Amino acid sequence: MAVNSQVALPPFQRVLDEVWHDVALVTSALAGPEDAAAVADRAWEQALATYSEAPDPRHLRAWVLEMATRMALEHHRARQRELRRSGAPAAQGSADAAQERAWSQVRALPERERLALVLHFVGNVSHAEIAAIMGTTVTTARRLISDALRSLRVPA
Amino acid sequence: MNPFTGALRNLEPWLRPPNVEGGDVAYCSYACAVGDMVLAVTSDGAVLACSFGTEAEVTQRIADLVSPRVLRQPSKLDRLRAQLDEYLDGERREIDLPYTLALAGSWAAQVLEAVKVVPYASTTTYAEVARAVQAPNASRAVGNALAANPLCVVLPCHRVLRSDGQLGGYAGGPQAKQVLLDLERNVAAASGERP
Repeated sequence: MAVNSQVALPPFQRVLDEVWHDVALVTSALAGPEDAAAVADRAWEQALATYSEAPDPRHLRAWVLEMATRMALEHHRARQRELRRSGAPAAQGSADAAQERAWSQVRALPERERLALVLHFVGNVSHAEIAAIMGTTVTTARRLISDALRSLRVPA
Repeated sequence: MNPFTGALRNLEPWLRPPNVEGGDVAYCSYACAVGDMVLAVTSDGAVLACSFGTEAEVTQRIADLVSPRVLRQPSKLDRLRAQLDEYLDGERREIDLPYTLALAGSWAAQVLEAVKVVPYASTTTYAEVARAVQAPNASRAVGNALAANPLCVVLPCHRVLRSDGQLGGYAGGPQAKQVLLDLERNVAAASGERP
């Protein structure tokens, strides 16, 4: 990307210091608090591994949050498959059960709606940045979020 | 309005900073008798920075000139910190670790290598260093190269004074330079060496 040669990347630690809290929120909300730290660590490892070539320096925060969101959803899906196979109950501890109630509806949303919704309300990413990171327009980003809110029966 | 505010507040107690290791450069801050410093080593263990700048300045310079994959990992700097502690306690005369001058230009690197040979507790002048690098008229440029030394103490630029005997400048401030010179003189005198 041409941008890479024009805008310098900050030291990785600065991105980590600024974004870790929101990444932890996203992974806790979507992967469940017990597994959140391991998922967040994996997301940060991947971010570090691909830092030099991948990101647009103007959207580093959104880039990391998108990566963490995808990983948390993958983790959640894998865990659901495992639970179905073993026939164990979906929720294990009380904290997990509370999280299930709060976030199960969000996890049931269509992929793009869910990604946009979580980035916006959990990761605190702007509509413009969501559009940039999802490769779509600001109008579409707004629509994905309002559709998601309608499915959740939350007033936009 | 954020419809998730309540649910997010419930997550707060679970949040922890990540545990990430690796990257190309590890750094930490180091507060000592001569001031606040930033130390950095490369992943292959070479000392990259021992500088008086702020964390933001030094790490951005590393990101620009070496690699942006920079992480705060104090444990990777244990050996350097231990040697600096010993030096500042007068129990060590040089930092004995591999280093890299990747943060210095090629001219500055040449100047700094010339300073490496100035012995503990002795001094030289900007003009002499200029002669040593075959640029006898460049003592001002030598001064600038030393002022930007990314490896203070490791490469002892504090042992270079002005030809008229005045202290000259120092990245950590003239006071820090004087502290280091006094330290070395006192240690040498205590062990019976002539100044």
